[in-house]
Amino acid sequence: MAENIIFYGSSIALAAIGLLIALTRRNLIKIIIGLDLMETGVNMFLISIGYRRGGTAPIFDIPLSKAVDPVPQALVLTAIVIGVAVTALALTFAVRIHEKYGTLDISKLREMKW
Amino acid sequence: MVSPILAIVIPLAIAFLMPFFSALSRKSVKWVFLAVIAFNFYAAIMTFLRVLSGPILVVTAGIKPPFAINLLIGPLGGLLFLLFEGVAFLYAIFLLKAEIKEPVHRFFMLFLLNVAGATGMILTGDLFNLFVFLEITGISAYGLVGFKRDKKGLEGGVKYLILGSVGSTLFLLGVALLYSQVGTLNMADIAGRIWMLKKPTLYAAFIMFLVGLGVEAELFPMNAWVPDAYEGAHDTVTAMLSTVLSKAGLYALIRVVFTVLSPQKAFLDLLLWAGLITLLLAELSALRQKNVKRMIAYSSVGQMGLVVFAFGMGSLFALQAALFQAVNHVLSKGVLFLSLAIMGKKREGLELENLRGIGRELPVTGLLFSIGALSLLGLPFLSGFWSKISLLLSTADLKLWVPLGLVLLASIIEAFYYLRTIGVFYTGTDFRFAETAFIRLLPVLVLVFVILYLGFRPGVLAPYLKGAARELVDRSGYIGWVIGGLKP
Repeated sequence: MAENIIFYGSSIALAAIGLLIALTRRNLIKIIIGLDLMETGVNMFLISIGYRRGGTAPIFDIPLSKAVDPVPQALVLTAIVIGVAVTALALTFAVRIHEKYGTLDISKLREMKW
Repeated sequence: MVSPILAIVIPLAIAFLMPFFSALSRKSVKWVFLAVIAFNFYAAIMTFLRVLSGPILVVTAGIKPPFAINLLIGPLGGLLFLLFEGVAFLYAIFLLKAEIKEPVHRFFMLFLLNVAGATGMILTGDLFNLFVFLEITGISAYGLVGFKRDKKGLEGGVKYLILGSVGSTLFLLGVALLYSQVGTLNMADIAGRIWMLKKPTLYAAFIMFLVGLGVEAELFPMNAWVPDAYEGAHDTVTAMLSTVLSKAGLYALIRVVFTVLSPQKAFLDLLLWAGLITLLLAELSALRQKNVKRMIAYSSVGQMGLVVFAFGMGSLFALQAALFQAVNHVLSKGVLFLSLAIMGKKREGLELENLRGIGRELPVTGLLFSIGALSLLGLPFLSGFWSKISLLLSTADLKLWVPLGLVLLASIIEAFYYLRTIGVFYTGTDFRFAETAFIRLLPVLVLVFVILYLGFRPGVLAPYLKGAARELVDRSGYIGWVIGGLKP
C-alpha cells in the first residue's frame, strides 16, 4: 500500500497548494490557477482511491480482481467537465473585470466594502 | 401523477432550448420561463400531497439503490420542494415586468438552471449527484450575479465564484474521503456503513462538508461573498439567492450531518457556535450599513446563522423550530427583496437617505415591506413570532442560557435597524401617490398573505414540520426507505 500513500499524499498536497494560492494571491489569474490546481488535486485523489496495482481498464470481459474501480473514474470525468465550466466562467469574469477596472488585482476592487 | 424527477429534467432541457425560443419570438422567452416554473410548482404540489401518505423513492436506470442514483422525497424534501417551487413561481411572475439587461434569454436560461440545480439538491439521494447539482446551482448563480456586467455585479460575482468553487471542491474531497472508506455514494448506504469510519476520517469529512456547504449556507467565515453578491445582483436574483439557494445549501448541510454522518455531539456543538457567531457578526455589520439592500443581505446571513444555531441544538423541538424559522426566512426575505426592488425603480440608488418618504409615495409596497420586516423581528400574530418563540423556548429547554442571551441580543440589534429603516420610509412629506403595477405587487401580496395566515394559524404547518424534523432524527428510518422495502 506504500505507493498508494504516495498517491494520496501528493494529490492532497497539490490540492492544498491550490487552496493556498486561491486564498492568498491577489492576482485574479493566479487565483484561477489555484482553483484549477485544487480541482486537479482532488481529481487525482479520486483516481488514486480506485487504483489497484496492475489493474487495467474495467471492461466487461476482464475478471473483477484485475480491474481498477470504475466509479472514481466516472466521477472524475464529471468533475473535469464541471471544472472546465468553472474555469471558463472565471476567465470570462477576469476579462470583464480587466475591461471595467483596468486591473486584475482583486484587492483593488473597492466598489464595495465590508 | 407527476414524477418529481421531471421537475429537474424539464427546466434543464428547456434551459438549453432558450436560444431557439428567443429566435422564434423574443417576447416568448419569459412566458416559456413562467410555464416551466409553473409546471415545477404543479409537480411540487402533487409530490407534497403524495408525501403525506409516505415517502417517495424514484429510481433511475431501472436499477434499485444503492446501485443507481435515486431520488428520495420524505416529509422534509416535500416541504422544501413545495416552498422552493412556490417562491420561484412568484419570482417568475415578478420577472414578467422586470427590466433585464440583454440578452434576456440567457438570463432566463441561467435562472432555469438555477432552479433545476436547487431542486436537484433537495431531492437527490446520492452524494455525488448532490455535488453535481451544487455545481449547477453555483455556476448558474455566479453567472446570474455578474449578469449586469457592471462593476458591482462583476465584483460580487467573482467573489462568489472564488469562494463557491473552493467550497464545492472541498465538498468533493469530502465525498472522495467517504467513498474511499465505505465504497458507495448512496447517502442511505453510506449512513448505514458510517460505523466503518475511524474517528479522524469522520471528523475530517465533517469539516470538508461544513466548509464546503457553508459557502452556500452563508456560514461565517465562508460568507464573505454574500453582501457583495447580493448588492451587485439583479433584485430578483438576490431574492432567489437569499431564499432558495441559501436553503438548498442549508438542506445539504443538515442532510449530510444528520443523516449521512450521524449527528455526533461535537458536530452539533460546532454547528451551534458557527451559527451563533455568524448571527452576531452579521447583525453587527448590518447595523453599520447605509445601503438598504446590503443591510438586508447581512440580515439574511444573520438569519441563516440563527437557523444553523437551532439545528445545532439537535433536539426534536429545536429542529422543528429551526425548520419553521427557515420557512419564515424564505417568506419574509422574499417580501423584503421584492418590495425593495419595486422601491428601487422609483429612486436613484438604495441608500437609506434616498429612500426617505418612500412609504408615502408607495403606500402598499411600504406596508408590505414593513409587514415582512416585522415578521422577521417576531412581532406577535405574524408568522415569524411563532418560529422565534419556539426557537427561544427550545433553547431554554436545553438550558443553553448564554446562547439564549446572545440570540436575544442579536434580535434587539435586528429590531433596531429594521425599525430605523421603516421609520425613514415614513418620514418626509409632499410625495405624490405613485403605486406600481399590480402584477409586480401580486407576488409580494401572496407572500404577505401567507405570513399573515401562518401568523393566525401557526398550527397548520406544525404536522409537516414535525414530520420533517422526525425524518432528520430518525436515521434508520431514512436508510430503511432507500435500502429496504420502499417500492419505487
